[in-house]
Amino acid sequence: MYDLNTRVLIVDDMLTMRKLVQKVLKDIGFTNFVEATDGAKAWEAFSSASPPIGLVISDWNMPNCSGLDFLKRVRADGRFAKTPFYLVTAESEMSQVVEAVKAGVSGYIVKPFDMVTLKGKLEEGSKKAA
Amino acid sequence: MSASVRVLFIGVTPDLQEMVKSSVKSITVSSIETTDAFFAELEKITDDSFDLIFLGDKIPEVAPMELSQSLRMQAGGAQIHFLAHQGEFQDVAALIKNGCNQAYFMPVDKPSLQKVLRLLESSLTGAAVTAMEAVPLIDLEPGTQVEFEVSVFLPMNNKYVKVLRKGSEVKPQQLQKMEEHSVQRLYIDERDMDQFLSYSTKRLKSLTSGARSSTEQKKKLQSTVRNLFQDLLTGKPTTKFEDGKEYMSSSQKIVADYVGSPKAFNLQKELSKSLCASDGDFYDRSGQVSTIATLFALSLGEGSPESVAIAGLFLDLGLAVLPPAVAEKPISQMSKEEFEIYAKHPLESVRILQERKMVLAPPILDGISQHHERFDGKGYPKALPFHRISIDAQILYIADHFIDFSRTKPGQKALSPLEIFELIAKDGGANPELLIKLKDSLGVK
Repeated sequence: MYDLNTRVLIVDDMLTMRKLVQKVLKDIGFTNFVEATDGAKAWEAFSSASPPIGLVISDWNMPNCSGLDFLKRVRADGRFAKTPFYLVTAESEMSQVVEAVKAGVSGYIVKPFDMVTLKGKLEEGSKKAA
Repeated sequence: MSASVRVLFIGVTPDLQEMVKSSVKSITVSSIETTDAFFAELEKITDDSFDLIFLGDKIPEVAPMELSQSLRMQAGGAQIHFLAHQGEFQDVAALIKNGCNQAYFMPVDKPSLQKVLRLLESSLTGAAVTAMEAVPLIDLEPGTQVEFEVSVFLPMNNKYVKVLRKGSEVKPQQLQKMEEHSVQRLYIDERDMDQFLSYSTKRLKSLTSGARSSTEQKKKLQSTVRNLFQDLLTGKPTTKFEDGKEYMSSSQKIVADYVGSPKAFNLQKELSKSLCASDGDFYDRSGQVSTIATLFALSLGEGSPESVAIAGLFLDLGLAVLPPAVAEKPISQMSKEEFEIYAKHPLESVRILQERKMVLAPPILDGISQHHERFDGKGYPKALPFHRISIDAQILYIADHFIDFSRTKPGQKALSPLEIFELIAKDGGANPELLIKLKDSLGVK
């Protein structure tokens, strides 16, 4: 599993989802969170964060800049090539998952999900990265 | 057992809350009406906090999808149902995909919601539940034995009176007496509905087996199907839309039993699931085409009811493997190349079935591969001349279009069966002789 002290960036345009993702991550043991409401704001927060962001959980469908565009922007910067990045998707977007994999996503989580699913995905991703 | 049903309403209008309250004898209600209250309460809700959670579309700034997703994440095992007025927000498939167990739109879904509430109350409180289903008088055949109780409803006294007990025989004089008293509807305890549907199936079978040559039997068969069809779609002035929905589900059961292979229905669901294209609509629609095509074949006395029932279930499986760019586009907006791909879906359906080693009789496969071939020779995929299109495929063509035209969007007026038949005739793709025969046999005027 990832270091529980790592800074987690939660990106979602829906307040409810940001709250719930944060709650689930808190239940897992994470304590340090940064939030953003779309991909553009997320990039601002991500690229200027100090200490740096160690884990990103981002929604896919958002206004201005989607989760996928945000991911591409992150991966385009060599400094962040290995930052764990998870996309949260609705089932209808599953066909686009291939594009996300090509763009370098660490994993995707289908909404609605519970703590067990999120924990499982994070464990799976951290093992792959190790 | 709990003393009462614990219900939480989130953004549900007061009149719909009242409707739920009046449908349950013993109920404890909590309600969330504002965005702030929703955010404050969300994290406190657990799987066991409530027996039933109703979501509506009246929480400002929180869309129904967001409500259902967040509730499902917060309380994974809870019963979460969407409840709103018809036409306000009506994407059932999306709601279910996003965490709702079911969605109800008033007034059309009132009977099914009430049924769910009654059953829930019964399981939680141990209260006895009885509900009666109306069936047409013509469904009973003199001289047959019934394995269910039959009642009539006396409006003056507001009560049901038993006229036939389980295991008794239907006497001709009894039916005659009821006809004299203008009794059109009989009532059956909903717990006995399976026995009633199996009785109806046996009756249909006895009317079709070896009796095609008998004019009297054929007439009886036509009148039975006409009755089923009229209840299903044409409706008497008093018939409500919700009755139509109930009849459709009953008719589907009858057709499944009639074909002798209810497994075919399950298999179709499994197959479409495995192809990843099975939203509820895809499955429901083919069930409806199958049911309507079977009723058409029975009523016409032409084609094979068994073959069209099975073909109807599988004819659009091929749509599931189309590239998403083609599958999601209306035909009118497709380019020539895209339509060429789309036009192969009947053959794709056959290929999928054969790949999965399903042994289906050639008439069934013809029905599937030819269901888009047209009387004017302009159909697809092969643009067959009329004389080479099987009668089953011709019936399936009409049933497929019938279902398409009978579907309405919220706020849109439903077409009558006559209007639907006229639209199909105008299009020129169906055999006109068959259409006229069908209209006559079903009594569509």
